[in-house]
Amino acid sequence: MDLRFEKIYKENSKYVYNVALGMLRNRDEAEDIMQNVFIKLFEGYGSFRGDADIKTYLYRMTVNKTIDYMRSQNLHSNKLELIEQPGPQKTDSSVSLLDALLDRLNPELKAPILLAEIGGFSYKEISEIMNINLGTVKSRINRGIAKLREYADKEALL
Amino acid sequence: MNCKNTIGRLYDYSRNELSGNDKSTVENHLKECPSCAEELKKLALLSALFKSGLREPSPAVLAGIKKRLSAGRHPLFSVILRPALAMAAAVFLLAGVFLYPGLDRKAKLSNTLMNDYNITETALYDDNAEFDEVSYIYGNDYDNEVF
Repeated sequence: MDLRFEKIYKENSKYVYNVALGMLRNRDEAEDIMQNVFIKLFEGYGSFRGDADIKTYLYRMTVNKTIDYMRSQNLHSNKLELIEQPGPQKTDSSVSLLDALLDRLNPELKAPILLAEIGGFSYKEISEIMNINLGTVKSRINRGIAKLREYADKEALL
Repeated sequence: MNCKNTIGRLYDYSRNELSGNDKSTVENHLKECPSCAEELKKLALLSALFKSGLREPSPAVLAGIKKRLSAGRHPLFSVILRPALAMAAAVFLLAGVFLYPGLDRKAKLSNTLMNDYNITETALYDDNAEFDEVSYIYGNDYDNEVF
């Protein structure tokens, strides 16, 4: 594989994966979507203008594909299932807590929070990735965070 | 600014998304309100949860990407077929250059006729032309025109 691709993968894969995982709560599906997104990126690499363009593409495709998948599967965000951890990987308490919190949010509220917290994007960048205006980003993030805080207080989790 | 307004802006403040004036207002309130300061700490804990909960994708993902990207360049094609096709094209081109007679046909006809009739140049007199007008005709139908 081209060294440039290896570098892009190394720099972005963990965060792209965790955004997908945060949305879908399923390792196999998250890895599937992530793999397809990177393949599409590398196959069309010549058309990108720079690193920022690549990052925007990666996360936009990831968010869109996860939301599409969830709609097709008719998944509801109020299920309290934790992510299954097949194999030797341990599930520590902080991961379970995060899963429980994220389960409280619908995809539209979850996506911008994941992009902010995991992707490290600013609100302006999130508005470009999700193709929504800045005011909507602020509104969704603050509503989502308020829900998370409310649940965390109720369950005395933080 | 009161607590209700401040709490609604704390997350934006924690992410440095507030403009200068709003930021100052929140900061001033936080200095005086332990409750809101405590809320800011809980938001920081929430952010820390996101960072600490990151998982690694399995190595199979990268392997799958590499496999898919290399699928467009099959080893059989690049190692055997492509050189074979290139060689065949070169042979075909050379054969065309040597075998195609048309390129020097005019010269051959001229040379043949000149040798056969012992003439140094060919010429055809046009009956309708002026006496001293000479037309030189070369071409594929030369044999038919010279007599």
